Amino acid sequence: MSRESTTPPEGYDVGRENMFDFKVDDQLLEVVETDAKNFILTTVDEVFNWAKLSSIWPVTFGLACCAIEMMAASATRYDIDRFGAGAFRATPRQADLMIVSGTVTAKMAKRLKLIYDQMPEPKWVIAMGSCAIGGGPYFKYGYHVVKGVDFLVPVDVYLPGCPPRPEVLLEGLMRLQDKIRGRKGKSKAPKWITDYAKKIPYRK
Amino acid sequence: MEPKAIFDLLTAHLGEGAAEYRENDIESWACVSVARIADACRFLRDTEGLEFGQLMCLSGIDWDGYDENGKGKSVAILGYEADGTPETSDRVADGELGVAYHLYSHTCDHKFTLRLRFPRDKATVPTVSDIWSTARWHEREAWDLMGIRFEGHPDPRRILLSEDWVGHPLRKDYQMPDQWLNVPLRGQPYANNPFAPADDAPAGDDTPAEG
Repeated sequence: MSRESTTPPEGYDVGRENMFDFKVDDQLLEVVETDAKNFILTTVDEVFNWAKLSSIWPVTFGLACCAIEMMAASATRYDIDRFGAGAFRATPRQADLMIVSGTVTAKMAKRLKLIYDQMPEPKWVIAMGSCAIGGGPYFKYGYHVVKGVDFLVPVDVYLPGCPPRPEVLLEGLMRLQDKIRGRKGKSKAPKWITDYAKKIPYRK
Repeated sequence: MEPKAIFDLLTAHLGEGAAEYRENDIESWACVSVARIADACRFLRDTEGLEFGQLMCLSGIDWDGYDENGKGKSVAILGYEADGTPETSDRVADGELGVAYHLYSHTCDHKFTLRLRFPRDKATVPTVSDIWSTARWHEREAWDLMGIRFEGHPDPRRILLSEDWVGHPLRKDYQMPDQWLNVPLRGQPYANNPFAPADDAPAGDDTPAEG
């Protein structure tokens, strides 16, 4: 990322407080503006978070019909690879994310916990679908269904639906990326970027 | 071959009194005594002209609350009240259990059905897994969900539920467990949830996870 790449388009005036949301003392400001053209100011955490959220590798783990939607999300039409989360790992030891896609039966509970425990830190969990959130249609008479996967493992993002469409999974993945980024809700792009995005024809 | 003709051959082999014929509009069947079921099945498979090479399905049945034709008083399904307390019933399940064998012959293209009936406390049946090997999983399922024990089965484990499960869930008198391995299985209102945070619990912060 070079300094030029963040330069606003021609004719668009921008205040410096929009470019940098931290205080810059005069000496550092002078260095940035005069000496170095390829200069990045960031924190180590921010870089690490960016790396983490850009390569969330899910574990290959599907339980029921939600897994079909998860597979559709990883196929070409929805293409979860756009978000760096398309590398479904066949072992939990290489995975960062567990998408609990489907009904968690009591028999599967032990296995699910084992898979989660085998995943290295940092790790995240998405509860996909009504069954994983709270038992779904098996809430009352399902003698064999765990009433919510959050009784077993900590859940980061809940995706309602029966089953949720692939777009919902992608949305949940983006919310998880927001969480990893350390921000709440939608990411805050600088105002000139959002204004500029409105001028792109296909966004209209 | 028609079911009645098949039954006549079967009775001639087993002897009088070992099997009864039940006429039915949809599907007629033969009610066989429990002790003779393996003998009857082997006869149906091996006799020329019958040649029942396939056991299409083996089903466990709980007749509690029903007459033989599947009609009669309804059985109360025990569930849970809106506040999470279990519904109770004074009725004690006393109906008979049963097993149904649905047979098919590929060579002769005919079907036949056998049924067993036996008391709840004597739910032990000779296995037919040495006659049709597909019965191995069917009998494990009937044992798992209905608690019907099959004498002589080579591998009499549960097939669907966990090995340490207690009870047989498709029996009419099954009581659903509150929890299993400290994981609640009973759907309850959130207010009754023992895992729910207290009302005065501090709200979670949005700081990123460590690591």
